[in-house]
Amino acid sequence: MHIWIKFSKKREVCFISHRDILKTMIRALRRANLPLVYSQGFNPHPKVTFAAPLALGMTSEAEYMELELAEEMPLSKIASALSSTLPRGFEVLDLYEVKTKQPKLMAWVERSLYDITFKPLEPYPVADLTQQVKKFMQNEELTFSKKTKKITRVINVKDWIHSLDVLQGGENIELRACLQTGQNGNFKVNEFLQVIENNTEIRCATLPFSHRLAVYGRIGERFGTPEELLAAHNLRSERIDR
Amino acid sequence: MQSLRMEVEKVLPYVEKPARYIGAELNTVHKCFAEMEVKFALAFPDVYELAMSHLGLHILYHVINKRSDSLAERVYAPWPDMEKQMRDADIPLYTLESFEPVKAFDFVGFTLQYELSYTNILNMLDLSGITVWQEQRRQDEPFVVVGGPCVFNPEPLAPFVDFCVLGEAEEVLNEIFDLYKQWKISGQTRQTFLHDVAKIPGVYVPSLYEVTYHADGTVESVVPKFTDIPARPQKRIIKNLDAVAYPTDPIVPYIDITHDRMVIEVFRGCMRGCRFCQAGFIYRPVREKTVATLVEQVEEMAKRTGYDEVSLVSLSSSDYSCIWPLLKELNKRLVPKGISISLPSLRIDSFGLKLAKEVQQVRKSGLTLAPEAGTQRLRNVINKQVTEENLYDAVKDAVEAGWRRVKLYFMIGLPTESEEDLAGIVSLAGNVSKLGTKGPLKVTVSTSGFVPKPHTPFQWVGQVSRETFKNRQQYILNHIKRYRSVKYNYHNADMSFLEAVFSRGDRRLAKVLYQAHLRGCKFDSWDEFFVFDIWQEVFKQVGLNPDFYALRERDLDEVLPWDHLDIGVNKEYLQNEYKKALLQATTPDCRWNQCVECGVCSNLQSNLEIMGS
Repeated sequence: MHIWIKFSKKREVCFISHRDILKTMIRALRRANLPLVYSQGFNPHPKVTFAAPLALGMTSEAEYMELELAEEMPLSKIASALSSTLPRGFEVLDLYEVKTKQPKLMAWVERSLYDITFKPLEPYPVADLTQQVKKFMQNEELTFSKKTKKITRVINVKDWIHSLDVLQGGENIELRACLQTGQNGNFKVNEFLQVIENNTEIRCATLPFSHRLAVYGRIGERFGTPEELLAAHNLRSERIDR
Repeated sequence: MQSLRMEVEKVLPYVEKPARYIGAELNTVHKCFAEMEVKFALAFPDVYELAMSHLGLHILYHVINKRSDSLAERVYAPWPDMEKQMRDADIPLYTLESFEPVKAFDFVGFTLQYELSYTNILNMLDLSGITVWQEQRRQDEPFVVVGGPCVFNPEPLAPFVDFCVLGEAEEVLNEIFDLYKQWKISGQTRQTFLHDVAKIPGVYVPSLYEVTYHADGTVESVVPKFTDIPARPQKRIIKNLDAVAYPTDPIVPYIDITHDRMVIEVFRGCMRGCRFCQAGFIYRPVREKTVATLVEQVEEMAKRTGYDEVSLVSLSSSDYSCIWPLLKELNKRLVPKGISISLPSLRIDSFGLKLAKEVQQVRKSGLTLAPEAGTQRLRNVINKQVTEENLYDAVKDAVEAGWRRVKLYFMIGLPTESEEDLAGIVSLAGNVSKLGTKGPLKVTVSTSGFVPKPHTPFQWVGQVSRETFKNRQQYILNHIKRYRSVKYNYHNADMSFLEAVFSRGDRRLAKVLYQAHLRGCKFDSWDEFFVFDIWQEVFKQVGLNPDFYALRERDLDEVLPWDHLDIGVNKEYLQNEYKKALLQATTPDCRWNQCVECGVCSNLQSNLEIMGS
């Protein structure tokens, strides 16, 4: 039985790294006594993967993990078992049974939607910010020097910013940005803010706090969430009562 | 406290491994801080990853939080990057559960696991805003408590400590808490509480004991200041380990820690009587749990943690009298759940190897064995009853079973050690490497410097000088080179020297600790932070000679700074064992032979609890 689990990551666990969350989830699944499918080999590990890693310090209401169970079980039973064994700060939001062949979420996700909050050096009103952002988005080219371990590449990130809106201005600026995510280019929020600082008058006075609202991938010609992908194929899901 | 949490969250993006400082792990206990009558901060004076691997603190966390009127929360030494952020932002040391300042607790309890963590204790008190010197501490400050193995000579820390808990704390803590509740209502002075708590068996209040010295600097006497407190406080033990609470719901950390697995304690104490080993004397007598209890506790733990490995711990788990029935039962129940079993301390013989084969069905990367000394003569001196043949047989079995690497642990600087013994280490390692069936076996030899420990037959022995350590390390290095497949590591000799100073030190050393702390010494057991030069300057400044403590051979009749603490083993027995050591005479294990009359059973009114006999 192939399932996708959507969960949230709250503030108290935002400093747990991606790698540690994978370990945490596997232990929670083991405590829930779910019939996990293990890989073969000397060190068998459960087949659990995540859609897209979340950077350290961020919260999210749209994390997805994908896993295989050895037996068919009602989704509600899986949801309640897992909910009762997850540590504080994580919450199961939705469960989906994936019955037709679908791409791996890890390969499918291409975009993330973030709310980014920070205190600016100068408090611009919303209208002013909106103007600056509009001008910013009209740039033909937005260059960014992406550093990997050894080399620095200058890349044009214009096509990696899919939307940008101002939610709040003044002392606390809040932006909503849809950024490239995943295996075909990954634009980190911190990198995005550097590009903002290089190309607008906006300057961050504090480290930003970011929250992921959704992830998107291709559904035919358009982009949509994993739920929408499944809905397009009429697949069963279970929403958790909160 | 939410405001403190927010301050902490602001600095976390700037530190390495922020998850060390946020708590919220699985199975943490969160009680209403304001409602609890007794609040205990369990402190480990080292980094999170080591602290969380320590079973003792998990046990006490469980025992205290079981009480409905009390809470226990955790606090560990912040890594220097975090300490800097905290000091810059005026964030006091806080606990990981409620983010309350440590200073708001009734007790702060430090575990004393190794001497080189002492400066971290002072630093943590300072970061908490708690007065470092005990006699200056104000009425509303927490009581500073210490326990753990080094508490059997707490003297160098005595002026910083309100009281010590000697031995196993599960029962005595409850007695202390009950007394504390009465005292708190009564509104009496700290002094009153300390006087009363000193009457509880297992509690030692250093400030209530007067220490006098001879002109030559040795201790003349340690005498209680009141007649109604014991002249020799005695350690506490739990007589029936099956009946005492065990943390079957231990905290499961998010980040990787040093020992990231379930831990089940199989028994306490060890009767092998290795003469250098402090644990082998201070934790006597042996008390085993039953197989039924162990199996039940492991199953419960697996359910509550989700771990895929359980480690059977004790001072020497293969000596558990019911080890086969236990492994059989655990394998039956755990293998279907994908849980593996590990035995951390392995006996060097084919019995040990049979056990290893039974449990480690998957990973066969490295096998660790500790012959401790290079010749039979020296092994007899230290009473490590292992022969060269035992070792070779064990390694042959291991190679056959698929192990590819062997680690060998030795000590250098043991009493009576000569060049022959060092040559013995080299040839032993060389011979082991030749036991490989497909070319030479990869062998790693590690040596640590021998540190004479209080309450052992070697407590009178002078440590060899740092230069001697270094020469002997060099000797091994030079001679072991000819075996290409043997690698050699050795412990920092300056650290071993400092350990020896504080392990057998007296109260006057507190001034040294304090000055070293003021000059920034911390995390002294970490190579990257240890600065021996500062320590040397501080000894000079304070006017104490470290050689007096570390290198001096002590007279058998000398009053030792820890003689007034009673571990249950008679001093005459230790003296006799020391004399036997010099004659290379061994002493058998009383579990399988007759009583050796160390005195512990009659002094503590207890018995060996051996389940399989």
